[in-house]
Amino acid sequence: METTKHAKTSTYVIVFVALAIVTGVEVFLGQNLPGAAKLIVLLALALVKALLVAMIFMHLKYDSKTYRWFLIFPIFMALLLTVIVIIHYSTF
Amino acid sequence: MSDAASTHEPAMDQSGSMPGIGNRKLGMWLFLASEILFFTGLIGMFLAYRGRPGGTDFLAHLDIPLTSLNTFWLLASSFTVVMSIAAVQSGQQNLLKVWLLATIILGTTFVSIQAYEYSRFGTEGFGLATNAATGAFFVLTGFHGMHVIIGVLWCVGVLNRALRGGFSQNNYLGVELFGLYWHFVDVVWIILFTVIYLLR
Repeated sequence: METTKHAKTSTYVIVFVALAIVTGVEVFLGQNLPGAAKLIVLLALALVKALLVAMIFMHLKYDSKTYRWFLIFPIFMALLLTVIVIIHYSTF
Repeated sequence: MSDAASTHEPAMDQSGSMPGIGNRKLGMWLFLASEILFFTGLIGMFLAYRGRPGGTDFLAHLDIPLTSLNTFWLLASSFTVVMSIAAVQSGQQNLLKVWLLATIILGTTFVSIQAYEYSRFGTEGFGLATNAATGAFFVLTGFHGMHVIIGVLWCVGVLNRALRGGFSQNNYLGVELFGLYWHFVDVVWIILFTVIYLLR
């Protein structure tokens, strides 16, 4: 029978510590970086945090790859819509 | 707690037509996919309205230190959830209950701080109908908070089942499905914290 591997508990601890540290870095950069750089860096860091949670905590790294499409496709549509809104409303 | 990589049998889920894909887990992922688009619509609304008159003034009142602390509680709750799954996988029933209880406490703390933040906005004269930006803020964060409340209630149900011995090393899909929902709510907050609070 097919089995699904899961991460070591030490991996979960490392990911949690990384998430906490990156959040602290985000808060610091949010108050110290200029506009355009802040937008790019903070969105990139948020993406890294979201990917860590999805891949490790949600077990996407270890489960069947089929599940990933249920994240990739809507996220692509979400990014498309968000970019259109940002361009249309010049919100940043 | 065991530090060894563990395995589980997907047979505990109803078998689907694809190998390794369970019907209930697939259903949860489909639900989460729809939730991504739901929150995208709300985030789009916030991005469109944040620059309207009164928006900048309101955003200047956001309490970054308090919300950063609240973000930490939610991240910590994601950790406790994944540890509860690791506990049940390794047959540690008591640890499962402890981690689930910790999740309930952290989730309740998050919602309580959010309620405090709302009440403070109220005293400062900002409400749902003050202007388009505050309306978008309260609708977006309110729907997220509602998801956290639902998650806490779901976790109470999972803990109740765990207390009655409802899970085992080969039967813990209920914990895993709750975990997927909870982590998703955490991921949404990671995005909201950046878009609303840090990029104001």
